[in-house]
Amino acid sequence: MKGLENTQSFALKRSLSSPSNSLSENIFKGLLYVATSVSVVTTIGIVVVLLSEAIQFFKEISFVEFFTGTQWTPLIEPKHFGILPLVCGTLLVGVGASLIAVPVGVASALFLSEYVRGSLRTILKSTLEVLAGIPTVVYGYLAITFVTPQLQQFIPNLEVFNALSAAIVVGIMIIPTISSVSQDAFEAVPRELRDAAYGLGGRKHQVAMTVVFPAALSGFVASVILGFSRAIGETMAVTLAAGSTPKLSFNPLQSIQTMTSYIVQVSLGDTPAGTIEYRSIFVVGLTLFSMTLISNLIAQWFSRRFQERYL
Amino acid sequence: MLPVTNVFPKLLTDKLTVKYGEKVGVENISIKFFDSKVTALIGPSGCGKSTYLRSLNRMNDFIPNVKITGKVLFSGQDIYDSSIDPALLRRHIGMVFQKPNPFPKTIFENIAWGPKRAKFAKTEIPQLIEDSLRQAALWDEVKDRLHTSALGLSGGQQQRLCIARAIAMRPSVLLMDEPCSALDPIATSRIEDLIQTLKEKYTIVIVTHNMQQAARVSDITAFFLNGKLVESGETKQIFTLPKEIETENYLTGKFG
Ligand SMILES: Nc1ncnc2c1ncn2[C@@H]1O[C@H](COP(=O)(O)OP(=O)(O)OP(=O)(O)O)[C@@H](O)[C@H]1O
Ligand SMILES: [Mg+2]
Repeated sequence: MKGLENTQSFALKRSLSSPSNSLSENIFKGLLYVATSVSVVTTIGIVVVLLSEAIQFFKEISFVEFFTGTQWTPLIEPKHFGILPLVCGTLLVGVGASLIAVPVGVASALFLSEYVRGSLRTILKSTLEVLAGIPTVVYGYLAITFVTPQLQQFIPNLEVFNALSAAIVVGIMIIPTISSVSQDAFEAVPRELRDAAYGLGGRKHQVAMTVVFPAALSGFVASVILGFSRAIGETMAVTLAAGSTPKLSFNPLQSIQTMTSYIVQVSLGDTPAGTIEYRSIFVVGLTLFSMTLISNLIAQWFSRRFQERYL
Repeated sequence: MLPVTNVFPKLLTDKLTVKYGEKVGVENISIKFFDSKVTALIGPSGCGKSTYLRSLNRMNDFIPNVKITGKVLFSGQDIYDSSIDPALLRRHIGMVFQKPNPFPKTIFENIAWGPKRAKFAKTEIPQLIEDSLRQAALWDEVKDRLHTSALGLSGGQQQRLCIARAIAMRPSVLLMDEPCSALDPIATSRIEDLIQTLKEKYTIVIVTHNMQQAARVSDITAFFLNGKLVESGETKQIFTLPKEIETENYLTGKFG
């Protein structure tokens, strides 16, 4: 047949020299696979350990006592295992920190995304991110040696260990999280929307507050939840600043105990493995893990919503 | 000779040059824009039409390193004078962009945004919204869904919404940068009709790549090439008897 004679031939078959078949390709793929497996296996391992200790724990302590009991005294007789005081202390610090960090974080994010540009923006943003690099233990002794004594001048009945100072330093600690995630959300608002707003005679603060912020609302919410889950997972600063007195109270002037500080307290003590006190830290860990997991899932859901908006 | 030269121009540029850093966007452009006239800016891609248009309501202020020399006079006032508030200026010189850019808000809130920021009387806003939508030939299509998201409209409807949003500010000049380039022929012809009715009330400047569109909607045409104004004049004259050979080459498609 005419035409077929001119058909060019292409090398399409697999061969030893083609990369899809080669040894190096497989080794490379294998390394990536191992690396991925390490973190997946670790995560599964942690969850399994937490769960199995928790199952042992709940053989002795009922769900009802654990989730509704109002006293947490596992280390002193009579022992009580009601998690509410720890949840309460954790939320006190988490919510308090968010109350400080959200306004400051969102204000600096708006400032960075709407009011400065070029190298100044980069410099300010990296300075803010240095905050995130300060070891949390530094925030802890800052709370004890500086924040609390200063506050005591205004609030005489403030205890040496108190939730307020812990909330303040944890708030400062999570500002970079909220600010940088929010800033990314604000910067992702399309240029066209700002053009539209400025073209209608809008002023900078009007554009920032009534166009950019609402358009990036879900990204902002995600940043708040991420900051919040960092705050409730924070350990070092809170243990140092807030003390270790589990209390079902929302008074920030007193010493409280968060879930993380309780875990530290037991881990540092000489509680023998296999006892109920020992198992309790796994259950507390599991509870905390569920709380951060849920907030992270909510944050992800919000960010996904946010990404879809302008597709 | 233009029949309008003895009328006072609403807007004019005098030897306007816009530079991005050292790079010239447009150079030495002098054009006058008159009331109730549509002026079309045409020319090949990258010749500076958008640059020029955006300098007429100071939208170039947001681009770093832009340098402007020469004058832009709006009703006799130099808009680049330090005493001028650009936000107030943009309330009088509205803009419609190439890509429809409704806010992710309701149709109602989209149109109300500008008037609210400019502190128009609250009681006047619902009527203003109806009037603007009617003028933009969109009222009948959206009157029952004013409080639903503007992102649910089609591209052509979104662009008419953006026009309604711009005219709700009651500007005296309307700048349009390729307002139909993202639209299909039916939506395009609706917007062209709209421009014809709007020109009674506004001074309109429209950038377009579509020669037929320039011929259909404009009274005056200005042809740009490489950042310079080659010629401007009555649209009929430019399209039938261009003075410059570059214009003729561009219009007949000989241009590379
Ligand atoms: N922000 C900017 N920074 C630097 N140069 C720019 C910028 N915007 C435009 N220019 C340059 O200025 C010149 C004119 O661009 P402009 O966008 O005004 O052209 P145009 O005629 O509108 O083109 P088109 O028809 O493709 O929209 C081009 O050479 C472009 O590269
Ligand atoms: Mg352009």
